[in-house]
Amino acid sequence: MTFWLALLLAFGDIAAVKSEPDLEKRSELALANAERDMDQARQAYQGGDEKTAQAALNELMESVDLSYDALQNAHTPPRKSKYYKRAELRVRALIRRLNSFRDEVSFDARPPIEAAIKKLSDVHDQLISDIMSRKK
Amino acid sequence: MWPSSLAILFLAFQSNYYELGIKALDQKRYEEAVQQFTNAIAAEPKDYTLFFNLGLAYSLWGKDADAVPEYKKALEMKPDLYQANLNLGISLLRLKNSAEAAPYLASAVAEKPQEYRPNYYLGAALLGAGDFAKSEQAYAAALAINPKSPDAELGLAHALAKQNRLAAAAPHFQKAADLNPSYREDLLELAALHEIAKQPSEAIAIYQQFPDNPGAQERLGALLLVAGRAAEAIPHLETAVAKSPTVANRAALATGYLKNNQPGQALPVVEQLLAADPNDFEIRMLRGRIIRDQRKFPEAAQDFERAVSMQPDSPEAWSELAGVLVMAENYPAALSALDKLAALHAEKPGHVYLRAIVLDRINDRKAALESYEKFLAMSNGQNPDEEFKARQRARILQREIKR
Repeated sequence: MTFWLALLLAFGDIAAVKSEPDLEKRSELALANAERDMDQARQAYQGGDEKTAQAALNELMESVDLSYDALQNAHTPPRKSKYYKRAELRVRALIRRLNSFRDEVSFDARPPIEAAIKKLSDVHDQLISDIMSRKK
Repeated sequence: MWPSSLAILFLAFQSNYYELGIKALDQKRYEEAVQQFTNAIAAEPKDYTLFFNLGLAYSLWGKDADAVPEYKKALEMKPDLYQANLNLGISLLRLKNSAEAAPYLASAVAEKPQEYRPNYYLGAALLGAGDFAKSEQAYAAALAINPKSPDAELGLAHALAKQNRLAAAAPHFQKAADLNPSYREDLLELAALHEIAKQPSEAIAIYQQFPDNPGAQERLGALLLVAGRAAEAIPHLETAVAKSPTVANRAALATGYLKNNQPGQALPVVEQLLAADPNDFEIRMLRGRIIRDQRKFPEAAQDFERAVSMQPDSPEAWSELAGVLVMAENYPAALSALDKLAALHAEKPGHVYLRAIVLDRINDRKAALESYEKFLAMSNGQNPDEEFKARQRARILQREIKR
């Protein structure tokens, strides 16, 4: 990873994550980006900046998708890949954080968070299914 | 043995209802969620979380009126439940019950003073409840948390405007419009408030920012007309008439032409209006004045005669009629019009002067002298030119009468 890529990643730029050539590393970086997005969404909501909160939630979903796509394209059998298991744990943790975030907000602010929960739950189900599958 | 088994069974059912309710909520099946939480409450009526979730299910279902009592029950059991205070406040606001919403939102602010939403909604509730000074404080607190919120800027602008602090409100209206262009139209509300506060220049400056808005152009034209800037007003009034040819707009345009010494352009506009409604008093008066300014006095007198037949107690119409009748040298009719003005107790020094001239012209010297003297007593320095002439004529008449 170059210095510039590392710098971009430190600021949570999803474009930089996409440029990581190692797919399993890309998956990890995408999840780290999703975790930063989670913090950003919560902070923006508290500050009343709904646009930024929504943008952070959108990027969170995109990052989780990116992570899963990278794992699939790595062609390592999910049952043998430590990255699949790590992704499953981190996505599950993100869902927990999103649930807790949703429970804190007023009812009119729930829909975008619920959309993110639904998206991450689908990816999580897919990860579990891939890990449990006997397919190579 | 039996009672404890029953209790365990009861709690198991309650827990199951709760879980089913949460699952239904997650799956957006709100009607079912309501049913499950209602069942759970029947089993455990002292659990505030059940009431809160029942309220939440109603809120998400869009049934604010049903949500309100459930949140209230949750708060009776746990008054400092932030989410319940916030949700209840928002539900009440949606039900247009601002005054009732305010204390719950104030509690939410007390729980989380650094959160934007409770401060913002508290501002909205206090604004709706008419407590504008406290609303201003709440919106200011929301803006301290998020200085880029167009909603809070607009709310603060309204709170200040309601306190008649238009100068303070103006920059917030502008900032709200800058942050969210859909709030630009609210500047027109500020302009209207400036008009009410008799601050036409401020209103004009705002209306000038809306060249494509017929309403703004109409008001701009009208204000410029009143300000004596007829030439500037005319293009705006023409735009207003082109986009919205109402009677008021066309009348204003005709007045603009008239004030800008363009009676030729005013007359066709007025004729069109009278063709549509020949009994419009104001427009009939306007036509009379246009014709009068063209020195067609007998024709103008016809308009004013029609006007006095429409409004027989209008001093303005009788006054105009008397004036043109004098100019048309129809003295008996002019005297009758002046008599009517006197009967209406609307006789002014100018009318007495007119009467003196008429009586002078018909050689009723004694009566003319009396009227000149009455005019001089009433005018008392207000009309120096006419007073000079009146004194000269009075002196001559006195001499003639003595002969």
